[in-house]
Amino acid sequence: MTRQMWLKSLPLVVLIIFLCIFPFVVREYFLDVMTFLLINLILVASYRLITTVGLWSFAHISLMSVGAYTAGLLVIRLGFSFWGALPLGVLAAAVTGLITGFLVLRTRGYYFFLATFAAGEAIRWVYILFRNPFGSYSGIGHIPRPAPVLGISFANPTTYYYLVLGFTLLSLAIIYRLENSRIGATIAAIHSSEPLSEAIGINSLLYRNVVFVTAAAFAGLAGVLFSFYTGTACPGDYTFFYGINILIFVIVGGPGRFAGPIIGAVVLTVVGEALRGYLELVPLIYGMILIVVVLLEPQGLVALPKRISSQVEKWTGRRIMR
Amino acid sequence: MQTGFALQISMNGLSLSSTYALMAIGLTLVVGVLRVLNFAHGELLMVGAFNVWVIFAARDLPFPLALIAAMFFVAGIALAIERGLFRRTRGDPFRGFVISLGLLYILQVTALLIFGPREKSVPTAIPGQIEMLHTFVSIQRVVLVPVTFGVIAGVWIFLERTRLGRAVRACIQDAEAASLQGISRNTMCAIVMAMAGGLAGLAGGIISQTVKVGAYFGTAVIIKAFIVVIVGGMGSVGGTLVASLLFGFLDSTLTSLVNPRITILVDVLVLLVILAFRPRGLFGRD
Repeated sequence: MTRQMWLKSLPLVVLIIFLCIFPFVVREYFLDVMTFLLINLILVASYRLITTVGLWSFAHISLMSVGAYTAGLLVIRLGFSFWGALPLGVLAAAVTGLITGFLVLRTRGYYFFLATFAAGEAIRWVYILFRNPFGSYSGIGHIPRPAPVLGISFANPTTYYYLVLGFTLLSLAIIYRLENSRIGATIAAIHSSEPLSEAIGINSLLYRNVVFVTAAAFAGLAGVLFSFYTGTACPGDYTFFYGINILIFVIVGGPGRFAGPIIGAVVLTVVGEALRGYLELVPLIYGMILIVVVLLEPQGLVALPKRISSQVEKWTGRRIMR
Repeated sequence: MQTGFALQISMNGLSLSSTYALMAIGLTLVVGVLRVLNFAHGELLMVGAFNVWVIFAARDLPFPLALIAAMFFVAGIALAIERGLFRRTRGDPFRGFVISLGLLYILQVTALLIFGPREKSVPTAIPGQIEMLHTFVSIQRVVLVPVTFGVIAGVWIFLERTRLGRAVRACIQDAEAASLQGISRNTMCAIVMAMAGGLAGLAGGIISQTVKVGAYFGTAVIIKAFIVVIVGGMGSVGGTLVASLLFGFLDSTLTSLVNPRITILVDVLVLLVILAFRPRGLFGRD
């Protein structure tokens, strides 16, 4: 590794060290907030993956819920351990994504968005309509925390936080690698010109399917982590509004770059926490931030440093950023 | 008895179809002309419903007056949204759609702050029932369904028989070619957005007779309009009407024969199967 590469990865290393010592420096409440934030990071990063093929889905939260319900039911009804239920929850979400994708992936634009919205609502109604086994509105409860591995228990919030942190870092790394692989390059080609990429023999429908199913799997993982943290899985956890929040995180941060949605989720979570006494105002503020960002900086917050530096350059006539 | 049952299903079917169409036509026209999917359309319905609650239920003024007031009020809001927000993002309609997500939250919280979290019920405007073929049908429905279809017919005549309507259709077909013919894009967008708002206000007012009015009224009822719009094909008013009838009668039959709560599952299944074969809906153009 050259010195420059070291310098470039330094902020990331500092960030990871910060996340590792986080439980020791904050109150339990903020640990709780951070755990949900980490789960949301898996959601926004996998959501961004779908947007790289030019599609905007509204089924992400419902696919997340498939992971949550599947893993929860396997543990409660069939006596699975967390470690056995986790991959099956992920698989169930991926399969649901595959079936949904098979039906809607030929659609584009608003059709895709609304079709995934309708499919997601239908999934939620399945939980509500079929009391057995999904428990209708009250959902399923008493999902136990994961069993100890190698003597490490995951029953308390701190150790569970580390479990979530591990899965989040792993997920982000996999998604990042995927994007910078040959598959990622092909996806970028499809996004920039579909007819051209099809002309050189790329099966764009197949790639859209691969991306949608992969994203669904990560959503499922997020769902499993969520339900084993809260100990429940109910329709009220996976609402329309959660779906809109994820969209807002992604757009406010900026879907154009990998870091964008992550920045969006972090910034808006901080904003949400700042408004803790006025919970009902949070959507209002999110909506306003969304509109202001879309009007003033459509590339999202992630493009802000560049925008500011180029403005400063214009005023001072000196280059400050290469 | 058999005929009575069939009558019941068709009356319900007509009633549902008319409200679906009323919600969906505005939505589809806005996609057609502005190229923006207004995800906050349901919140416009909610504003209309609150209008009716304030004027008719709280102030005790006549129901028709409340409906007309709702139409104008919501049309005004829609016009303001077009002028203030969608017009700025015309070069990239997707940004308009994103803005509508923010609007959804803003309108909901505003309603929540003004009216509080408790849902309000609007009393029946025209009480009473009449007996037809051994079946009781509410007078309300006998009056409102023809009124709704009358409004839809009015929209249809406007689009098909007037110069302005033809300009709107030209805009839907090809906005650029239309502006080369001297059709002002700004005017068309304003007209269509105001129309969509007016129809949403009316629809919200009518639906407030059967669904309780609260800040989340829109998110509860709008999904059917979305289903109708994509099955019909975006920008196609005829397709929207056909899809409204299809889902209105489907839902009515399912409600009578099986269970009202199963309708959403069957509707979505029908939608997905149609989209698998026709990705742009029944009447959408490529």
